[in-house]
Amino acid sequence: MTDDLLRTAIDDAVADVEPADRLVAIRTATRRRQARRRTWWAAGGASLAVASVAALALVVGLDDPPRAVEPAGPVPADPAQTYRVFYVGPGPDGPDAPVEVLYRSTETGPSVLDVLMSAPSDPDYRTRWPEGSLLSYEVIDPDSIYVSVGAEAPLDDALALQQLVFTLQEVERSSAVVVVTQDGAGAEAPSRDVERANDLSVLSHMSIDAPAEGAVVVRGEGVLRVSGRGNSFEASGSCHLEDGAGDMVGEPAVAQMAGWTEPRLYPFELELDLSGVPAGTYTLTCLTDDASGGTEGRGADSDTRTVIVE
Amino acid sequence: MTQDPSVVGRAWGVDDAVEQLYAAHWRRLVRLSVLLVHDQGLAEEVVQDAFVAMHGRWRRLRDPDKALSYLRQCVVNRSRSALRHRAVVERQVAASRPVDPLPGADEAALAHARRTTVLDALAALPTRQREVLALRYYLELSEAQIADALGISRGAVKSHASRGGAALRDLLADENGTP
Repeated sequence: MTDDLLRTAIDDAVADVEPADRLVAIRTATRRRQARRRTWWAAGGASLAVASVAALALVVGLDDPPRAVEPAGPVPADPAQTYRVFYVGPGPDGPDAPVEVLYRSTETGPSVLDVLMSAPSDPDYRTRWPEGSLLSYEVIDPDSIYVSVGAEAPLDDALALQQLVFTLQEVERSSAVVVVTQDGAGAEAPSRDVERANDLSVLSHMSIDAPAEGAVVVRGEGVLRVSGRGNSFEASGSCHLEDGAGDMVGEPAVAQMAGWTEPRLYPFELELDLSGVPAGTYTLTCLTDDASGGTEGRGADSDTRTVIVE
Repeated sequence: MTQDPSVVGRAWGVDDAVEQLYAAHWRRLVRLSVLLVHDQGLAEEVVQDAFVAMHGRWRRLRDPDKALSYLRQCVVNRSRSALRHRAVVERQVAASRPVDPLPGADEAALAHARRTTVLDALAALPTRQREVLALRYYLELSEAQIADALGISRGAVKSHASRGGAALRDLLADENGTP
């Protein structure tokens, strides 16, 4: 079959498709969207304020019964808002491993974009978004998060773009495409739609949610509670404490996950026994189980936190 | 194409732009999406959403060519998401909603069977290959335009086109009982 025949066959395959007229539906949708945008901007809020409301509702909602949030009211700027942000850190240690991966971290700051452009609390992580590279973002419809970026933005850096997508989707609790547009470049503004990559291809397969970096634990409590998320061979990883010399202190514990076959991370929780652990500063290390022992494939993923036992 | 895009004026307002692009490209874009998702109702949804999204970012586009290439990109991306979503739903419902058959005369039935064969063969290809073939043979885009629409390299376009073209030829030859 020649190219022309293929062209004819494909052309013919849809030749009888006569779509219904949807111009009215499109006009209705765009008018509704315009009205919504006008309301947002009139509320004194750039999208960042709206984002803060959403994040505030999320954080407050964990402990409190649902409350009506005034959508039109101006939002007082809170310099210590909490966000869950993704940062770049060292990848696993196997020969086929990616060099760097993303870790989820809980951070505070005036806005999620400010947090993304700041140094993380854990010195193992860093951001690929320099100061001034992220200008603003807005959620225009359920399918799109629009981000304006400055000239410094690393638009050719796939992991940096995923850092942005994972963070904004988490903050907005959305699976929307992130449309990144360079501001101030006029009609020629380079812009791209960034979809979220497969979790296991960019995220560390081991990520600690708690404790936070530098957390202080009281020995009298008997245990250190650890929570995180991972994807490990046969759904099982491990955590332990190391002292300054890199020696294991106390007993390791199994990080049991609910599964490992789906391409995503599974949460885990465990307690490390502190009874034999003297006061001091330690590194909490959690690892995935590397079935090959480091000889092939991805190798073991790990995440660490500095903890102070008093 | 029902209207030459060059007749579209330069000093558009956003609503005029939507209207003119709709008049010129609505049918063609829906047909493109049918090639990708094999479902007319779904294709109309996809392209409708693409127009709404284009309206949303008009201040970044402000140019008929840019707007059209944005629409194309949107239609391909959203068709892909719609397929993924439908795959999940179908696993639960085990039912699909193909293009409505044309009942009646033998000739119409034959034409319908011929079209279904091509759409089924396209549906059997990997997503990227299907997208490249639809953009190349249906929209007649150049390699560079396809690379741009899909966000992949020209080398990747070439390789998807060649593998997809060969696979589609094989599938259609099998259907027709010819080697």
